[in-house]
Amino acid sequence: MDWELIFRKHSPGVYQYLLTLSGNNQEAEDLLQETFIRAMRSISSLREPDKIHSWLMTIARNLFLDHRKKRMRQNTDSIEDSLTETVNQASGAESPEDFTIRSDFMSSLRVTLKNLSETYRTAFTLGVMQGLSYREVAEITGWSSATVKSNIFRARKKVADAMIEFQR
Amino acid sequence: MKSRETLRSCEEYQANASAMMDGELHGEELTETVKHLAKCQTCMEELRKFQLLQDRLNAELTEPDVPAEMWPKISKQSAPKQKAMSIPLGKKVARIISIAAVIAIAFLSGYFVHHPSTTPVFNPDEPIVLASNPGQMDDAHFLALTRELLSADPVYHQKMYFILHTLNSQRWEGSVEAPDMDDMSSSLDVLTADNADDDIVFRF
Repeated sequence: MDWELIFRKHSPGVYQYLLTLSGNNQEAEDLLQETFIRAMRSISSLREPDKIHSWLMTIARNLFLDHRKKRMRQNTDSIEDSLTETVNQASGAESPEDFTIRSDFMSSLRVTLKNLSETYRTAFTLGVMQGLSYREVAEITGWSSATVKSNIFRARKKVADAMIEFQR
Repeated sequence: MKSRETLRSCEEYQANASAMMDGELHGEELTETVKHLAKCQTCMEELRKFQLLQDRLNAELTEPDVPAEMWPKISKQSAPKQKAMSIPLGKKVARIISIAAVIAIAFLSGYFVHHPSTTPVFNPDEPIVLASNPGQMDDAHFLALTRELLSADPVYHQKMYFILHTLNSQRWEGSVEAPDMDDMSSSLDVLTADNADDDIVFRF
């Protein structure tokens, strides 16, 4: 199995998900690294190779939830105010004015996502930002198909309402 | 009687509109939702908001760049630990070879240090004194050396047999613990067998 190729193909999506969930670059990087190490060690448990993306996302999510539980137990849980990796890496040739507009949109999105529950952050990231199928979201989260549909709708509605100023 | 459509709330239709945007609404539900949207301005406005948000995300959101140093770190941490032996032999055989390596060191020391220019003379009454640094020669080195000795002097296998015979006679001295004789008997079996799985074939 060419793990380097798998890493190159799937790590950006997993990383984006972890950035959105954790809101912290360092935590997301650590979890991404742990996700792939764990995946490489337990590849035998992947029964359907074409579902490797969902499988990686599931590992990432479980690691995040475990990590968050530990942090909560340590009473140090605080979502850092940075989705900067997702936000700042929207790069490309653009005028300073464009950049300001873009930056405003992404900053607003960052704040909005930060204020969502983990459930809605997951629903929004997987279903809306990454465009995964509802079946994939269900596989990753363990939610029923009705719950997936409902969570994505509610998350989408919350974000759309919060960012109404950009809806023009 | 009210139609089925009127039994749904606008929120349900908006949830359907969200699913429709994601390509997850089909059949009758899709038809019904489209019909509702055509006549409900509130739901249509909600769909428009969803669509504008999606367009904006599509235009502005890019997947983050994963730090370049990430893969080498993962690759390094996931690499299987290097085995001590380069030859895939079983644990028992490895142990036997280690013992044989100690024997060889003793043998070679006796030959090259004490009798450097003469044909070695073996005295069955003289005990073997083992080297005090067991484990200094790794298995690959031992095998290479043994091969070299055997190809240089075909009678070395007799000398090796002599050593094993000596061990079997329980005349053992030195700081190294005597090997288990059952293991040594097994070692003779191993050493006379061709091992088809490995590159090295033992013919003592």
